Amino acid sequence: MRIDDVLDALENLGIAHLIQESTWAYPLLLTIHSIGLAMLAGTSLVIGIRTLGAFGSVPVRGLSSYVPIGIAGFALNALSGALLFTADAHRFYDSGYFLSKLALVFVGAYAGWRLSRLLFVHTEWPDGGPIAPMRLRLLAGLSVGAWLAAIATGRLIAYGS
Amino acid sequence: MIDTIRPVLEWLAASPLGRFMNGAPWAFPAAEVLHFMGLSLLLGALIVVDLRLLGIGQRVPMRATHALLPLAVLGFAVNLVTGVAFLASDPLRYLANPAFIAKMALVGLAGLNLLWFRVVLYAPIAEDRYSGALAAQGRVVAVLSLAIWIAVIASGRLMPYFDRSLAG
Repeated sequence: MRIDDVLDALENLGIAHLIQESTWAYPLLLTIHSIGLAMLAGTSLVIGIRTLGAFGSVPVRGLSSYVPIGIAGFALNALSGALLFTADAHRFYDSGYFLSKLALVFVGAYAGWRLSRLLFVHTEWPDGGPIAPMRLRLLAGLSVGAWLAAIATGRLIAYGS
Repeated sequence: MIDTIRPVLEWLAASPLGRFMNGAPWAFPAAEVLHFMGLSLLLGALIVVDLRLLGIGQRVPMRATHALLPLAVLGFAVNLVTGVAFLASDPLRYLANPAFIAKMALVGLAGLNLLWFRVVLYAPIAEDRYSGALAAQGRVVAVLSLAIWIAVIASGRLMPYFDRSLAG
């Protein structure tokens, strides 16, 4: 049962004890996680939906300004998420919703990152015309779908396995 | 105050919506999922609009950022409907929750701030008459908007921890 040893070790870290014993640490971490979610999913949805063809009057390349906000949200949530996990490692590890969410976060992060590279570094859709190239639309659909599904599964962790 | 709105709350709790929220076991989690998706749409659109008012992202013309406002309205509408559904599930319990009261007050402030944007700034931006004193007001509106909505998220997320019927 090696994984149980790892989960036990995480739950016994000093920082995990601090979170478990404090009244407000866990709620504050959840609050930070919600704000990071708004930054990451918010900017990813805007860039994804624009690539799928909405709000044509917004110049696509101008949206590169919001990539750092998405990255900051990701960093905030990786950190707050890791801390929440250590405080309650067994419960999260045993949750199918949590494991699904983790997989969806990887898919969303990959799709969002690839999409922003192709849009803003390789400028594969420089004029932001009526229809984006197929692979950009695929990545945008994957990013939007994965982030929405990550939000759903993340929220459902509270309702058991 | 509670006595004047009590009949409304009792009607809401007894309404089909209230019965639905308490009847179907998946209704509450489903509404929560939608509420978080709505929050992401609302904030995503406002991050673009507000940061542009602050001078960030100048390659997008300010007027063009207004194309995102319907996305914010959609997010708000989803959260209004799901929010009323939460309230209908147990109105008096929400009313007794200080984090809920704070959240509603903050949403009201956000509404006033939006009114400021709509009345004073919207037309000048749309007609390219936006400069000087208006830009200074725009920066205040943008900072208030982002600060208030972040506080709305925080007070909403903390509601379970101020729920007296769960405490103790």
